[in-house]
Amino acid sequence: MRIGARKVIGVATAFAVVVIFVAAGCGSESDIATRHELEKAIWNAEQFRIKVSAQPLSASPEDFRASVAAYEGILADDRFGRTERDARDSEAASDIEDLRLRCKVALAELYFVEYEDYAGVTYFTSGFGPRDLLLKNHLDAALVEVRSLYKNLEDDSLETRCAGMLRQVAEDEILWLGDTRMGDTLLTVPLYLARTELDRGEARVSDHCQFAESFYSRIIRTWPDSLVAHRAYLSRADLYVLEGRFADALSDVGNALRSPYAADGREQLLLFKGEILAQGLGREAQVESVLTKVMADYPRTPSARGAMLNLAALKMVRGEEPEATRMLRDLELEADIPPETATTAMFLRALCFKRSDDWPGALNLLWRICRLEPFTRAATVAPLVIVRYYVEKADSVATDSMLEDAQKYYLDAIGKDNAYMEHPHVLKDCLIETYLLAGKPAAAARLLEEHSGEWRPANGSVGLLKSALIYMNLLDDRENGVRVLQKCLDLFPPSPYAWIVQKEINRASTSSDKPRKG
Amino acid sequence: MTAETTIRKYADGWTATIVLAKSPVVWMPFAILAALKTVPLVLLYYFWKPSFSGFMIPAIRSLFGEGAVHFPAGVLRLPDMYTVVDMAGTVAFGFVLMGWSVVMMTDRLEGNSVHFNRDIVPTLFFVPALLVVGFVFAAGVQGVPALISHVSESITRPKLQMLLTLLGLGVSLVVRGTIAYTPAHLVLSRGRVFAAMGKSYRDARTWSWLTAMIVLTGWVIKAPLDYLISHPGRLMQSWGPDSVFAVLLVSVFLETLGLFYLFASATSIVIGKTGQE
Repeated sequence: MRIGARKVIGVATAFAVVVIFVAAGCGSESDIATRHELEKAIWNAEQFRIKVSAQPLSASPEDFRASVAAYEGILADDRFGRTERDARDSEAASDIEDLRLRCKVALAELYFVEYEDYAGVTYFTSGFGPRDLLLKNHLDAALVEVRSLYKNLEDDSLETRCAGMLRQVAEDEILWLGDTRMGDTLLTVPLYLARTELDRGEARVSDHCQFAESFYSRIIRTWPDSLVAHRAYLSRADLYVLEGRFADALSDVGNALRSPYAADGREQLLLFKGEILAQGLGREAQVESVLTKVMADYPRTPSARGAMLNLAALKMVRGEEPEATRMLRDLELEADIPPETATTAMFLRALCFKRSDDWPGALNLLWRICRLEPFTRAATVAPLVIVRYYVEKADSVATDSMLEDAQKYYLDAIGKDNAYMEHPHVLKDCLIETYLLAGKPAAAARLLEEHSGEWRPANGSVGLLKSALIYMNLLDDRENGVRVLQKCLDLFPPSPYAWIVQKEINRASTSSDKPRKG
Repeated sequence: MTAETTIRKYADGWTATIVLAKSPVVWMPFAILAALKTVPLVLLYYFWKPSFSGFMIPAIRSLFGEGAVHFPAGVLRLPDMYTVVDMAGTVAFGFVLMGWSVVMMTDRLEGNSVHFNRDIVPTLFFVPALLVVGFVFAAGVQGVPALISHVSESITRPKLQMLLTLLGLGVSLVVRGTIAYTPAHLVLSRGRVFAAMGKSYRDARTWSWLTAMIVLTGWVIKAPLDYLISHPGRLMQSWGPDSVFAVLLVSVFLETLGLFYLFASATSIVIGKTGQE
């Protein structure tokens, strides 16, 4: 039999093509096929999400949008949402429901990141003081400080979307079946929303707060004695502290302390317990005993140092400044003490000096913190304390002089933003707040506008955005606000916050079209 | 053997390969081999299609575990799963087809007429022997490197991991070289498998440089793809999940070309003819 080359190649190619096309062209109606396509779609969406979460500053807004769009596309796809399933593939059908829930969780987290991003650059952090320092140890790990100076912020669509997706996740009965799928972010979102709502000055028993409480309570009921229940106790305790329900918070911390998962980080729980006792219940004797126990049982740990700071603050409030100063000095002299703790101790010591009417000593110490460790939390709030002092004394000459020094410190620190990784925008907020204290918001807006061009895009664009928000929301100068926003887009077109700037421009033009009230 | 003889014989190998490549009928076993290698690959990749899922899902689940029927684990493990299935294929029909091709190659190089169906008959006498050779080839060329690669995954020291990878590659190339002449000797010695393997081993030792050059040439053809396939995660992230399947598909085609070259050169060297005399 003679076989030609064309025949051999033709037969082999045809065979391969037929096999591949038959396979690729086969129907995909079964639940197994649907599950496979859903798994593939989720994988694609996760690729964007990984990029966004692994490199938040280099990821472009388009990556973020693509990630959100991919998950939204999956949830909107009828094939995956079909309710009637093939009875033969019950396992695949249940997997599909499970995977859809995973998508909702991922989307809730993405909305949260977007909202957090928006809130982080359009709101101010504020209200630093010894009272806050007591609670910061615990809350800062989970929460970003957001306190609105812009109470008339009209657009809350991001918050609504984030809350809506969270409710969808919580209402999905699949979530409550079998094993838990709660990630840290999902546990944080209700608390964050509740905090934002409370900071806006809304009613104490508010929508987000009620939802957060029922969400955490259901976790505790559904998976008692589990790790997630342990974490839910702590989140609910945070919520109760925010609401001022300190006795309930104390009870939840007690439950968390009894859990087997308390072994790791028991000292942090005890510290939190001490803070709650001090904050809300005023049981000083108990506070002292708890904090002393942490210091004695877990020496040289961050919690022991936190307990020492809290105890010193407590003594200071009780008017025992010399004892507080001695404790803080001892803490500063400890070997290998982290700069954050050392400067917090220095900051509290400066407050002790101030309370003892030794203002020169306090002033010297506060500026020393800024010089020694400019990127610590204590350093960022030190100029605020100084300016507040002179504003309260109505000494305008000294206020202006101190403002000048504060400006030098803040601009220098903001310019080196790469070294200040924790909250890159807090410095700008403190700069603004210092000027607001002195009654000079326009000067703050001008300063930020003038210097933002010298900073990196992620930093500079937020500087200009904040400057524009001061013009628009505090000075009622929409024209300059829009001009600065436009300048921001011109200077930093690829900045990660370009979408927020554009959103603010749209908001400004929409509201300028509306007739003014009154 | 002098360097000059080695280079001359290596060139003769290429001459014979080109002569045989021009004869379409000689390609037939390789075309069938490529097609038979493609089928399990397609089944493993498209196992979830309704036409296949009925039998493929239980099979994959029992052989490779529950994870393999889910995405992306199924795609990430596709190269490993395919290696196992391909090994079984090499044992079952790979060397039977190679034996058939060597019969046709020998006829063509000796100047006899080549017949697609007539040359199957002598091959049938060698089937048991070819199955044994197929087993040794599959175990040495695919099995041992896969096993070493599996062991090296649990090792954290990069240098040791690299050393083990090279060891696996070395074993694969040595077995390839040792077995390369066996089908030709089987045809000449009329099916005495161990005698043929012994002769092949002696040839590989006598023509060590020549054998190394032939084996490396056959291997180099698909080495870049082997590297890509050994990192399916990176492949998926760079070019999407379908790229793993596509690279494996191209690799099947190149592997077939490599085998054609290997057995054409080896047969020509054993019988001492290039088909141009």
